Amino acid sequence: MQANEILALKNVVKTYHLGETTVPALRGLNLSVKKGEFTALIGKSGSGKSTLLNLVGCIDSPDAGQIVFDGQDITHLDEIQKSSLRNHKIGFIFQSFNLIPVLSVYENIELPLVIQPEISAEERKNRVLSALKDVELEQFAHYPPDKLSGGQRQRVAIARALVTHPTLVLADEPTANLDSKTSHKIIDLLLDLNQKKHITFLFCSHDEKLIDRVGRIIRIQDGVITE
Amino acid sequence: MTLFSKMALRNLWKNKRRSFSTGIAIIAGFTGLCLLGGYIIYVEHFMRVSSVYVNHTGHIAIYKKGGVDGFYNNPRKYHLSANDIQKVREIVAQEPAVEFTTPILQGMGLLSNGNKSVPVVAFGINPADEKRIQSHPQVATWTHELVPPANEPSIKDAEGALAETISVTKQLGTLVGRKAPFDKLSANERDVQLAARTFEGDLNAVNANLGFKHTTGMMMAEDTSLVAPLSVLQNLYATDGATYLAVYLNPEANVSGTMKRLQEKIDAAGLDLQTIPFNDDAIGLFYVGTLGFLYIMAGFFIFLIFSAVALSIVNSMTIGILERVREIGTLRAIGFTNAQTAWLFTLESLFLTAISLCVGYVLAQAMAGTVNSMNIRFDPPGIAGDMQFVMKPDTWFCALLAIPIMIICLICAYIVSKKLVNKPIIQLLQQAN
Repeated sequence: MQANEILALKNVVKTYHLGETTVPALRGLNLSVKKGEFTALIGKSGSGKSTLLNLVGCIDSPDAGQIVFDGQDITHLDEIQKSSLRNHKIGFIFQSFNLIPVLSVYENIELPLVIQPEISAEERKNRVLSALKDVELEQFAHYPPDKLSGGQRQRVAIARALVTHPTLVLADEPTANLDSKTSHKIIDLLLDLNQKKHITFLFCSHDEKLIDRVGRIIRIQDGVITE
Repeated sequence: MTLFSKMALRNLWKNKRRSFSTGIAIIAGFTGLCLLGGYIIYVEHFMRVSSVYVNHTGHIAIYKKGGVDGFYNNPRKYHLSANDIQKVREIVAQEPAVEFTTPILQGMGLLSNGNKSVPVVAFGINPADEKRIQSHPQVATWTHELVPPANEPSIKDAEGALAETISVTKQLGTLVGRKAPFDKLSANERDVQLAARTFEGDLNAVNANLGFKHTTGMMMAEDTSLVAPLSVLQNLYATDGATYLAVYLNPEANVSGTMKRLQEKIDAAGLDLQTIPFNDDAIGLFYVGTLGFLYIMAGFFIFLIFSAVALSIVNSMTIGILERVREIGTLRAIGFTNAQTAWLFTLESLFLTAISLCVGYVLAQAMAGTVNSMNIRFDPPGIAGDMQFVMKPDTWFCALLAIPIMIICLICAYIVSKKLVNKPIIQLLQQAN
């Protein structure tokens, strides 16, 4: 692993089997991401970008190849190790926000921390308030998610991803369910957090208009990186 | 309150309709169990107190060895002599669990009014002991309908001037040509004779006064039961002994433990006697048979109710989890383990079950109170006369019933949630989208 490299994928292969049909999603993909980078994966629907994020996020396993994250080979971790890694080192931002409807904004952000027994209640509170401040939602702390706009919900999801102080944040089409104006605001927010807090972002989108300010762009097509 | 608990309670509230329907199933099942248990507890107490006190078995009966089966064929050989009674009473007196003892003499004979004679099963007891039995708190609590009211004369009053006054059931009185109330009869009408073979085999007869009535509580004994002062029957059978010594224990005493200790002491003293508990079918066949039937019936109902509750929980949990696939996928993605995610759903079931059990208990007590106050009467098989339909759901017994229900609910919820939570995260997230 190179110095300052946070993520390395080597010859990663992933194939889906849908009945008798075999769909190759990634075909020997290689990728390296440095610490603090804001990387955008661009490609059409079905190009393999979401699969790549899922493999990096340990919510799916590769058929072949190796994934090294933060100096650790994560290709063959067991379920408990994967859960711990996701909780401590990886933040997820989903296309559909995926907030828990019965929890308030504050509680949704707090959720990943409640399974970290090493974090005290005081520390937890400080982190949640700080994350709320980062996404400028302090005044909505006790709102239920269904009372927020789409953009606000995605901000809550971003705060939830950041609250554990992750090494890497994965964002899968985080603006797909938002209008153009809100989408730009979300990207601006992610870029701002990347610059201020030096958080490594790996985000994927099929909308090229959003990525004009992104530092590094990787194009993916038919399961391989083209550029 | 932890975030997990908040999530569980809010999800229950959010899915009110499903929570309500599952809760209703648990409430109905638990209420039914509490009421069934309350009825069985009442019947068990009724049967036990009836057997031990009203029918004078005592918690422990001390017979001559072989006397349970042999006494009626050979009373001379198998009766307890006055000496036996004195010795065994000295042994029994050392046992702190014993409340009191009384010798009981049983036998058969004829009751005659001069014109008409009917066979009887005679039963002799000391009136003072009978007084103690009839006023015993256990009798007042569970079988007050089987003993005459305290102000009504009965065999307990057969002392002094009434020392030769005997008691028969209403049915036996009618058979011998005397209608109750017997104490209202004229002196001539109350004169009766008792005839029987003595323990030595001679024919004997004694005069007695028909004055009191009683009930045995058992249909099969109502046409033959006669209770007399012990001294009257001892005269009749020409003995100073008894059939057995009835030993009454404190209500909280351990019957089998006390019996074991007594038997050891009796054996150590070289007495040829045997101790028998009231729930041995040798002397308590009616008690054992009735409760055996009730327990089988209750077991069947308990199985049905437990199955219904378990299926309801499984069904509710399965639907609930299928509706929240995205939530499960999200929780797993942000680092919850399978077990932690399954525990969240199990916690919902835990809260729902706990709330439902509390409601079920209150409902059972309210229903039992209402039914008891309505004084519903029925004629149970084998019981003389009607009896009130009473349910007494005992708090500790209900708590005991709640434990397996809680365990079943938790196991069902955990198995269902674990099975679905174990699916690959990618599948859970994609399924939701």
